[in-house]
Amino acid sequence: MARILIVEDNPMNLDMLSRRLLRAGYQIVSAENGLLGVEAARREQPDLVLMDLSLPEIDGWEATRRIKADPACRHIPIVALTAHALTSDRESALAAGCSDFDTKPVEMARLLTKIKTLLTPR
Amino acid sequence: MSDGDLDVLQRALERERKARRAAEDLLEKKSQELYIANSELRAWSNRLEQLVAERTHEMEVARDQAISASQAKSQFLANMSHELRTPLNAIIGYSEILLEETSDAGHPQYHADLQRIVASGRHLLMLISDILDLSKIEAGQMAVFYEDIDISMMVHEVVETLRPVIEKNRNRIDVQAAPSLGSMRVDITKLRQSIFNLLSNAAKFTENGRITVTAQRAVGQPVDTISFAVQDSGIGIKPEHMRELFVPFKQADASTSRKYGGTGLGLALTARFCRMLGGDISVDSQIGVGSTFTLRLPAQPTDRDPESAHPSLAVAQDGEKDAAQVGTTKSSALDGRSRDREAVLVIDDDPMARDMLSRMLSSEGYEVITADDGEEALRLARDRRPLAITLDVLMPKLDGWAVLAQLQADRDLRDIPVVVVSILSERKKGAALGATAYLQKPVQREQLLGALLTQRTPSIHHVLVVEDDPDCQQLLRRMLEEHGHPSRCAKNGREALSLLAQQIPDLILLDLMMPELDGFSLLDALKADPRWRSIPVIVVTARDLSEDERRRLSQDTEQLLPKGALGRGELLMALRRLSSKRSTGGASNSDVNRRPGKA
Repeated sequence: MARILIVEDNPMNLDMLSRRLLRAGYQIVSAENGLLGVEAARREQPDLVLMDLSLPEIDGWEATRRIKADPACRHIPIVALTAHALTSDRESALAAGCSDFDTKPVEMARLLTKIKTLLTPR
Repeated sequence: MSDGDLDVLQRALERERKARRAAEDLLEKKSQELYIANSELRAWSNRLEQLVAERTHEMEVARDQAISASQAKSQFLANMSHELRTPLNAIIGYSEILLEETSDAGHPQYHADLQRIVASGRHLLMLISDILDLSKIEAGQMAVFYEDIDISMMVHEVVETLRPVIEKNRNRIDVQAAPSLGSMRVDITKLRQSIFNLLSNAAKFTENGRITVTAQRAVGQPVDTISFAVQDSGIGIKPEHMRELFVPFKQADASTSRKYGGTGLGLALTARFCRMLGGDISVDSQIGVGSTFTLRLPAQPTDRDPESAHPSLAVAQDGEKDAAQVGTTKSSALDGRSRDREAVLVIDDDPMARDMLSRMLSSEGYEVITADDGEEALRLARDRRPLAITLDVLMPKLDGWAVLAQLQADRDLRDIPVVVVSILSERKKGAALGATAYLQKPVQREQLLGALLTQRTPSIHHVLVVEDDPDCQQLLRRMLEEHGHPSRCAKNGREALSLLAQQIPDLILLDLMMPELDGFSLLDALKADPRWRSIPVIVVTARDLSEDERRRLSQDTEQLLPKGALGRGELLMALRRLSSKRSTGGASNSDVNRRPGKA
């Protein structure tokens, strides 16, 4: 059973995402800001991280950079999620070390495909 | 002569005298009148000039206000769209969850209603995105990201996304896009959205018909052209409506939106995207027969017109033209010849300002790091040694001035150019504290990029100071040294010439009044020698210059700095301007030399 860490400060978004991912058969851990997100990634060693980009404390880009800089968790794939549907956000998220990018509101089918692809061992 | 004669003569004389006096009086009166008329005329003419000046000023102010109002409007729209998306996100998300959970639990009666909520939510979301896109284009903030894509695959993907919509009206779809078309380099998001818009229009306005999507490659020089045609057998477009097709918010007629829905933004956006990508869009239609929309795009971004690489202030007045210009800008900035990614540190406590500056910068290929307070900023500056810094002034804890002072006090950091970006108008203070540029909020993209371009680390290494006054010489040397420019000094023109024979400096700071050989004579000597002709000269003088001297200096020197106003800021600005000209390579040294003083 794959475990997904959701880093998201908006309680409704967190609630929606976790419920739907639970239904899809994943285990969920969550963190509500960038700093806690980095800690949770280290502590929980999830199989994948869904990272909101605009977060309090440190933003999603910085949190991604810190996770990717840590040898203990740099292997964990990160999917950036943002309400800004801007290509520049995608670029900067990928530059920060995210493996993929999706916009909110999420299209569940598309997000699930991305998650499955990233969780498939290559 | 009798007494009588004498009398007559005397009377005649008297009469003449009177007549002359009268004439003189009249003359006096007339000349006075003339004088008055003249002064009135002068007063009127002065008044007229003053009025013209006032009006010109008013118009300039109005124009500036219009530009910033338009910017503010676009910024507002962009923020607003974001604010609208957040609650919408919850509406769509929760109705989708309900949809999933009710169908699992076996309540099919709710299904249709929930589906309507989801569909309407997604529709609303699309409209908001379109408005956001349009406002970004108009604000000159829409960036283009090029990547290599497989043409055939992209076309098929778009068709698959829309297949349900196409088949809803019982239409048949035919796709002619062979894998042999190969790839193209394009902003896939914009191209996909353009084809999506054309295809969903075709599906909307066609029933029981046929829709054909055709992609073709036309071999050409310097690059191939890829065309995408969407042909339908739908209702067609009346000739009188063709012209307004690409104008935002104008649908063919009001009844169209009632019957078919939509915002009327799709085609307007598609046309703008096309132009940003260096291509165009055309339409061919016949009432009752159908319509064909064709996009033509270069297979590679073309570097068409480097002159237009600065999106002008025309943004507010001419969105159409600007869209094309912005497109060119981005393509030249981000295609193969783009500069390396270089980090700029953005310091601002306001997340919105931070976000906006970051976007402007990252869309130009700069890597952006951000700090929301002064202490974090100083730490990041030490850690990351950014290429340049943008600095807000009003911040809690450590304000911008304090950050600037600490940056300047640090030997390792003082050479990092700092662009102050503030709501305050304290340009002088900024310059005095060592800022290299000062921008007042709201900042326009091109201002920011312009300021950064003049930010390259100075390419001036060696400076020759020619100055007879020892105190002044010391001051100049010290200021130069503080900014890492080693200098040599000569106390008159003759000494300068012998130093020039040993080493050619990157810049000369020149006093005019000196013993032996004065500044003007030294300038003549410099001009006469091909080795020295191209050395830029900044004149530092305490002297009042005649019009003639000014003209001469403006031809032969880079800049005039009056000694009285000589501060670190002014000199530093002059140096930066100079070094930016050199490092951007825009002008050869000799060009620089001939440029008027107040460059």
